[in-house]
Amino acid sequence: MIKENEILRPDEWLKNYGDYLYSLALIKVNSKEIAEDLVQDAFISAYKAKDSFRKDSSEKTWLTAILKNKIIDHYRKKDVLKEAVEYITNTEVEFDSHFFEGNNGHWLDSSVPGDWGESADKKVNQSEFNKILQYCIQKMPPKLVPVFMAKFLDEQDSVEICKVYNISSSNYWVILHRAKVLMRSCLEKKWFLG
Amino acid sequence: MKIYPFKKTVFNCKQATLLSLQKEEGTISVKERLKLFYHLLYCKYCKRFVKQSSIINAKNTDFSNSLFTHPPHLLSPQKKELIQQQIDTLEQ
Repeated sequence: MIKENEILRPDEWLKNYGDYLYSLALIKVNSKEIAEDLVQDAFISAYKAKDSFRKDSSEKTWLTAILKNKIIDHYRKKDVLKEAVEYITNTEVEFDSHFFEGNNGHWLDSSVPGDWGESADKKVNQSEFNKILQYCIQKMPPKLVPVFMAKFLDEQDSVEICKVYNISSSNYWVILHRAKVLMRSCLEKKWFLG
Repeated sequence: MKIYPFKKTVFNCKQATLLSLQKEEGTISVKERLKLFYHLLYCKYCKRFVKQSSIINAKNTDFSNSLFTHPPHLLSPQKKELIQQQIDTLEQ
């Protein structure tokens, strides 16, 4: 029996994956125009490379991987990660002043993580939660998003991300830490205790 | 802010939370692990951070699936048509 996910159906790509790939791209690059172009580029490349599709992968996974490579190329071309490093350096004082005491690095009273309660695990299973999560990614400083998404969504490890994006390990952890502190705080305000 | 025990000797919340993220990936030394353990014994806020961080991490698959089942953004019909035309051209 041939499983449905073992064959490519280019005629249905736009219908089946157009909005999904576009959403993924838009979240990662934060520009409609660039996201559209990346998706277009990905579909064309996929079509041209359709003979290299291996049946052990699903059509969706395969197309997603092609798009993700296009996005990484875009990051590299635009030096997006260099900008991210400049950003964390320039805004360190401001970030700290929102979350941590200057002299000793303890949480500020206004920013201590709140008690999400016993039902926090159940609360994340409501479908509405994904919308809030997406909102919080959108509210995050765009320069932090590439690293955060590589870790969160693509589940790459730090070594891999540093290598692909050409950033130092210490900068990687500072970016990820900053993104996580902001994400946690946003979810708390908008969802868990909002 | 309340006074934490071992304020001067045990590292601070900013460092502790960063270290906790490294621990999620398993990339910290035994010494750092102990420092973090010690900090978390006394700091309920960082303890919450660690727990909440793992709650967020666990949502990744579900979030990824939601982009497919309920895409939050729609590719414009014009762009879809344009891409389809390009694919059709390649096909000929």
